Amino acid sequence: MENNTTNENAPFFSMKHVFVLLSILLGFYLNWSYVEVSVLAVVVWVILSPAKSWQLARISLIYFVLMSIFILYKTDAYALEFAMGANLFLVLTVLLLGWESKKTKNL
Amino acid sequence: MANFKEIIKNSWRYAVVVLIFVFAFFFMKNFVLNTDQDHARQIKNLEDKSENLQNQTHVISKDQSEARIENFLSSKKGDMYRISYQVQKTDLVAKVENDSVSKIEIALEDNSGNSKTLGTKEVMLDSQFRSQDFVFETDGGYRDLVFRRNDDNDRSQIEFKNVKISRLNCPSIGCAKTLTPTIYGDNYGISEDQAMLLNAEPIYKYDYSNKNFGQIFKPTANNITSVSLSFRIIGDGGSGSLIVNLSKATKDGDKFVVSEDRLSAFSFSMRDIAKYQIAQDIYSFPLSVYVDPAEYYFVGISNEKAESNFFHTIRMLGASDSASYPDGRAKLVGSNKTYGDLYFKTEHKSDYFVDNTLVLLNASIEDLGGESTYSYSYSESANDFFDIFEMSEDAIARPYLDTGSKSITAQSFNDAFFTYKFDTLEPFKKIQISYEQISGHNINAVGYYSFDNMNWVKIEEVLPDNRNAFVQNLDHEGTSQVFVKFTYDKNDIGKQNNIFGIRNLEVNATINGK
Repeated sequence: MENNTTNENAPFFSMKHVFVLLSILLGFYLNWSYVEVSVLAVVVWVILSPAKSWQLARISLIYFVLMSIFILYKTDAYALEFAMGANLFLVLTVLLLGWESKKTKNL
Repeated sequence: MANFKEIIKNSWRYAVVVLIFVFAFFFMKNFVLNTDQDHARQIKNLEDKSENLQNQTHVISKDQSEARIENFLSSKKGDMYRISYQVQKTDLVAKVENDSVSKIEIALEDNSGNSKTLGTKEVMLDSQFRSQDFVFETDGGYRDLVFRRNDDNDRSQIEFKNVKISRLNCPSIGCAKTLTPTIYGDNYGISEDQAMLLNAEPIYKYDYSNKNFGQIFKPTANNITSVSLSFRIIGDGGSGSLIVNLSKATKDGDKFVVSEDRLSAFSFSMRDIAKYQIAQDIYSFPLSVYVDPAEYYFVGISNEKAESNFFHTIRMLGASDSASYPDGRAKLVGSNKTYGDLYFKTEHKSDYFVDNTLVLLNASIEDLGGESTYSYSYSESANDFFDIFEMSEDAIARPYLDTGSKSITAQSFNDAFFTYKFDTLEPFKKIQISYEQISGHNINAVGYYSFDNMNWVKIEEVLPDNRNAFVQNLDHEGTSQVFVKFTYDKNDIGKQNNIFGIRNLEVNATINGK
């Protein structure tokens, strides 16, 4: 697994940021909703900055909370989009968890 | 090699992201900007098609066996009637070659559900409405009119509009059968001109950029009222408006050059494409233009105002053999590549004369026994344009059919005008002219009538419930002609839209019997 510790010498605006920005621009170009754009940006960020499974689980949780809030306020369209985002990150969490446990066993 | 592996090892995450971007770009374009609005529009269109009583259309959809008009009449035993209506058959799953005939049974029903079948009529696949009528005698008190499909296996859609009933001044069916058959301008006036009716092969697929693809052809008639083209919708077809356009083309050796000046254009969006579909992958669009039979023309679809991509676009259909249509070929404007021929069909109007008098396409003359009636009514089709008797010579000020506002519209420029000439064949006793000007930020239209096309009288009476609707009632014994001219109010210039137009033009006259 790659070293995920913070490098103090890393540039403030790296290639990673450029790609995340590109993902946001692409999402808007494709007429996606804010939620869909945010999901793409987070997915791109996660791919480029290898995250731990618990970090993905946390993002999933945030989406679930937002979904609940929108359900409470009867804005079902947004709630549905956040639910889809939450499920996506949940699936990614499970996949990453499997990979992490396989790596731990190999060690 | 080791260096390459190193790069791959370090960059695979970026490569994955780039792949995601490429996938999203091609597959995941969202053409629906506002899902709720679009959904609402789709539902509205569906309602328009299935039971649009506001537009007075009645539909036997492919899953239905009948269309019913409740409280259509209140008859007594021995009454003689004529029912007239316009009918169009479309078949969204039919192949091009399909020229099958649908049989429609026409029946009356009373309050108890007792039905009396008046007879059957045949309807053929058509790109436009055609008039039919039926004379009958009632044997009791009937209330509802029912159009019923004869064959349950027939899956075509049959649409009826302008359903009217007239009581005849006849004591018996024998007398009714001696009446002069009703004259319908639309039944005699429209016919096919040029056509290439093969659409089995894909010929051209629109991509991202501005492309204008169509067919070169040489008309034999001097006008075009509609064009049918065949294409398959891929994905959701893209967003925005596609433009059916017609331009002059010139032959330069073996090549054709398409003029940049469009003679006629009609735009449509995928949202309301169902309105134009007449068979599987075949769509008919109204165009209203006069052409020169000695010249070549190009008719095609431009995606300049549309957004499409590889997975959401349209694919034009035709035949790859260029000999399929001898007087032209499929062409991408700006390219000399050979594509074969597109499926296409143009229709034109022919003048229809009765007793050396031109019958307008939107007109009908009905013999009621003792007296006749003349009816003219805008059909929101190219007929409205072609019925014009005289119009501005100036190309900019020429009127055109605006299918958006369902009107005949012209630029308020250089004394723009257009005139209709109504001839009732026999001198009329009474005549009523009514029309509506297009409202909004447009220049006011002004209507005039005349009996000699020289001395004009302004139509000033405004209907109390609609300040844009005007009406004129006239008694004028001894003449069968009336001219109605429309121009713009010069005192109204300066509004947001420098156009004027009219819609719902109607003329109804009572004619002396023969």
